[in-house]
Amino acid sequence: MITFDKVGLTYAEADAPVLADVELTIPEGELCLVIGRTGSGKSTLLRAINGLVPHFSGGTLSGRVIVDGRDTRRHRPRDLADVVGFVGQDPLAGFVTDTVEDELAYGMESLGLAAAVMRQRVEETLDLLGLPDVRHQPLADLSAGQQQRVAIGSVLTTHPRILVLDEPTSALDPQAAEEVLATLQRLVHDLGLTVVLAEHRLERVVQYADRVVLVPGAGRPVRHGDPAVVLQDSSIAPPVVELGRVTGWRPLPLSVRDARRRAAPVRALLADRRPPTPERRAPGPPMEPLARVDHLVAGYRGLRVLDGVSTGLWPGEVVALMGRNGAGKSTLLRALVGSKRPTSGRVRLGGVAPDELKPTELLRHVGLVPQEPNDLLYAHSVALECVQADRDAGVGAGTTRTILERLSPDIPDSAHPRDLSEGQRLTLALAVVLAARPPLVLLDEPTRGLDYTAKHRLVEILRDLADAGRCAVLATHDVELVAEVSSRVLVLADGELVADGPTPDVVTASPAFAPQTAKILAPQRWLTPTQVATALAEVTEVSL
Amino acid sequence: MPRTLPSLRCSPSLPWRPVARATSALLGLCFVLGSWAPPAQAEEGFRYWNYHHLTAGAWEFSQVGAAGYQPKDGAVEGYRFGATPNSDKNGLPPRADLDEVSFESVCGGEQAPAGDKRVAVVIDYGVPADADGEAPADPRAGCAVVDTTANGQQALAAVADVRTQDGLVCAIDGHPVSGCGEPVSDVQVSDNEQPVAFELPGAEKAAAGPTDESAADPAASTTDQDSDLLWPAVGVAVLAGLIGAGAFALNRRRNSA
Amino acid sequence: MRPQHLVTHPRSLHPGAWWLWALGLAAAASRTQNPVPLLLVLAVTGFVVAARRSDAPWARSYGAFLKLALVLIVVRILFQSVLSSGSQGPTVLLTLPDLPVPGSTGLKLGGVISLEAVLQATYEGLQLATILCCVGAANSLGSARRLLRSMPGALYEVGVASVIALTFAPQLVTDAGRVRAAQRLRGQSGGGLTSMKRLAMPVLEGALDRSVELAAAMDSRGYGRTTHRSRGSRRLTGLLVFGGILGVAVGVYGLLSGTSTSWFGLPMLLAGCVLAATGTYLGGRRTGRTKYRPDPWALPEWLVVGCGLVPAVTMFWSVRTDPASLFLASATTVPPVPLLACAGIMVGLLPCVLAPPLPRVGPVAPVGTAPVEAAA
Repeated sequence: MITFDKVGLTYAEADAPVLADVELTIPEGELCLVIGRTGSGKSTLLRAINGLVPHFSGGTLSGRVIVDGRDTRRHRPRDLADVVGFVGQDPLAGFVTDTVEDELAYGMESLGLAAAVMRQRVEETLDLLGLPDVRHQPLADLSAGQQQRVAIGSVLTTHPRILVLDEPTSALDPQAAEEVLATLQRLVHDLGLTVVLAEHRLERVVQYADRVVLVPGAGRPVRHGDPAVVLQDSSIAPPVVELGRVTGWRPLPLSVRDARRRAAPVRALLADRRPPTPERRAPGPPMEPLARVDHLVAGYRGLRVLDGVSTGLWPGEVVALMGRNGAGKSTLLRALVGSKRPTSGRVRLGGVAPDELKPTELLRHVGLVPQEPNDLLYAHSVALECVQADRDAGVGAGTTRTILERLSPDIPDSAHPRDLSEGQRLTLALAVVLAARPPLVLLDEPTRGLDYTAKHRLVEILRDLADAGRCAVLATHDVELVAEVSSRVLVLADGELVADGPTPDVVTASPAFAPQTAKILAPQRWLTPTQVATALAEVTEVSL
Repeated sequence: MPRTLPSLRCSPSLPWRPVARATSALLGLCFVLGSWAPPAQAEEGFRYWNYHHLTAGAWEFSQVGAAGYQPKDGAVEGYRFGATPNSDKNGLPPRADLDEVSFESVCGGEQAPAGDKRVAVVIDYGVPADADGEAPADPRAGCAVVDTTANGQQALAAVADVRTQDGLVCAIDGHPVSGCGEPVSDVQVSDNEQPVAFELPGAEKAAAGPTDESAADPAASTTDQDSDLLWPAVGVAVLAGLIGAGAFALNRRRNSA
Repeated sequence: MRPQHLVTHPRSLHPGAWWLWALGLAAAASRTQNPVPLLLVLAVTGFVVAARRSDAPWARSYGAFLKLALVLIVVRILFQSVLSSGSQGPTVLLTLPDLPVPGSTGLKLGGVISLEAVLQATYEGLQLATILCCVGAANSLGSARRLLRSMPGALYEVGVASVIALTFAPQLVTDAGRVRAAQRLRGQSGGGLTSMKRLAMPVLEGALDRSVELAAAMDSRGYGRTTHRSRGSRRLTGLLVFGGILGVAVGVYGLLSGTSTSWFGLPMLLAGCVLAATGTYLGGRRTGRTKYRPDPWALPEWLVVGCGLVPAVTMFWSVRTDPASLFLASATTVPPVPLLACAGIMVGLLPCVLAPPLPRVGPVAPVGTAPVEAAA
């Protein structure tokens, strides 16, 4: 269906090729998962399938990409629109019309299909994706999961043979991601579609993949094959695979189900060992909270987003803030920095209300890395950005650069912040925030677009912050990250705090928030492969 | 009902050439029509209020607008509405008999308190040919008692209703009712205009009776007129307010629902 | 009678009808500075929007337009009263210390502020504000993007460009708000030139990224994949459409400017319409696009357009027959009431019942007995 024949790609003004000598054949009806570190060329590979690379992006393509018998060198993306459906990273940015139905019909209108055909296909697609209830609704009012499904539907209506998706679940909460992935699986199984998708959150998708393509980046050769084989020695692996490596299972399990069927011996080994509990640095009277939220109510245009939230944040904690898209996570963070004024209730940062603080004062109390780290950055180079951050925070010259060096040593001074990878940009924004040494650091969806390596770095950084007596709060959908780093979890639903407790208690209580390791080894409460590895090592030592 | 289409759809070959020829002819006609101008035998000009100062017993066409000129105490200012050819550098002067219309005859009955000045304002509404249909009002003169720093336009506004646009005097006492300095393609120039009679404040006073002080004040007469106009305006404003309030209430109900 | 001809049959009205209705009211407002009819137009648009708008995001834009209109009036007053003290009237409200502007521009900063100048500025500002609100009403009642769907094929590309431009601006405002909030986190209080620079960089780059993303999405979904068209026919179409639009523009200018040379307005307008229609027809049959569920144009559409036409016609008629009631003799006179024009504007209120109600969005309500039978 898709053949890459010695494909290489070099972007204009780049000295090294992004892809080199890619030999790849994807047969019809497969679900193919493309993995790789950020910036390795996954997106380029995907975009080469429908001709956006090089027709739209520029650059030099060597070799041939043949899609359903058509050569992308001679066919522009629009000429391939009836064969390849392409869904970009941000569905909202790719919407051309206003409402669900119009968006579904847009591609067919461009292809000039007859009205009766269009009508029928729109109905089919609405049913297939479970969208009939929202058919007349404006796209902007949909939830993130619905938007992603509309984006998929909008390319499905032209009946393409291939569906290409770039990180379809990275912005979604676990439930919405499940919906989208279930949809994709249905498309592969029922319609025989060929699906190619890139994704960082392997734990969500790897079990559905028929084939994994590993893009190592820097022009090194692409590897592909059976998921269990490719992942065996890949540096990128989901927790279930890591657990499989720790326990020595062969072939590697890819789903919780596979692993759980083989986990009984391990569970028996670990039966008398207790998983480590996050030490809670005794909050309460002896220690003053860094921030207090009392009966906070906040909202927009008559819509109540937060409805009576009360909690406190203590030094030395890493707090995870979880909940559906739109549950009020970002609003709570914004209230903590005073960007969102409470309708009632109050927020106190060590005794003062954040919205009354002057900006120059504020950054000494609290720092926030927004969902879009770009919002925080505006200089033309990393060096200038650091200098500016020193000046903003009123600290000695070079402070920010030193922090950045510690967080991520490989960022060149001369790089433009927008050219950095997601992970690098996040660390730069974090360094800028940390320069003023705020005791409370908030991160909004920090793992969006981060690969496992970058995520490990982030975990280390957050642990360091907690050890230094500061408090980090991260709003996230990433249950694996939560299991790895946080000591306490707050779960928001419908504007209310429905859970507030130590991580193991909260995440094991609900399958939606449970990490893979916990699911595999339930009812034991192990959260990460690392914990299991340590425990197993001790067990083996004892038995020896 | 889905129509069955033939598998190969051929569009009929269009009669491009005749269509092209016809449309280009039409286009050409349009541009000719658009650029066509009447023959230039008549003089072109503008219809506006000519502004004059009385200097040394003769009208002098003002080189600046009324807002940019500060008349001195005892000055006589003349306004004359009419179509003025572009070639005319002297403007249209008011058709006043300067023996009858003078500072004394206009402002003789007024006293200026300290800090104020008196300016005689002579207003000639022009000839019927320049007016839109209706006959223009009779020419009149009034005495403006204004602050010493007042400019010509402020003096004029003290004795008449002035409609301005971008700092220009467009209409005096609602004459002309609309437009501002509009172009006129066919200006009728009459070489010697006969002086006409001006209504002077003194005469008006005499007609109204010497005891009736308020009648001489033009502002007082407009006030009566205004109160007649006030009620319909208030009525419509209240109506607009009600509709707006209705819109607001409707919006509130939608948002809360 | 088919259901779309019924004013009670729930459906959304053709956006073109709303735009024409609003343009009619705007044309009426463009001919007078009398605050009485202007306020009436403002109230009428506000009411119809409140009665017939949907709950979509773009439908909430009328409020923003209204705010912008208020800002416009205030700015107009400030400029007129503070900057051009030459045209002040005799009724002095207050005196500011004045500052001559160099050069013989006749402009002065400060000085006397008179009631006449303030009123005059208010009326001029009100006229612009009213026209702006008419556009706002059109925008919130008929989405610009949906209007694009009804564009003839030949104008499609132009339409796409203008719609992207239209939706670009509100997006910039949203982005600017977000970036401003982020600036506060870096200790910037906002204001000043450096802060503007800091705002512009992320906002503009973000907007650029998004545009590129949208263009890529449109391309990969077949945008611009027109069926074979020869170069000559494409040129001819372009020429016809362009010439037609030019003719329409000149004609409309001739009609609206109200000068004595307006005699060519109507023929120009008609010729332009014919040309543009020919061009779009010829171009339209050559593009391969089809339309999904085209918005019907039925009786309610005609009624709504008529309700927009009546204010415009009565206003133009009143300007001709009774100009004294539409042009204020001076800024301080009590504005006269042009009865005919006001009655015409009130007709513009009728779409709040003549436009069909919107269908319920969300959980589908049980459908009542078919109005088709009731009508038949």
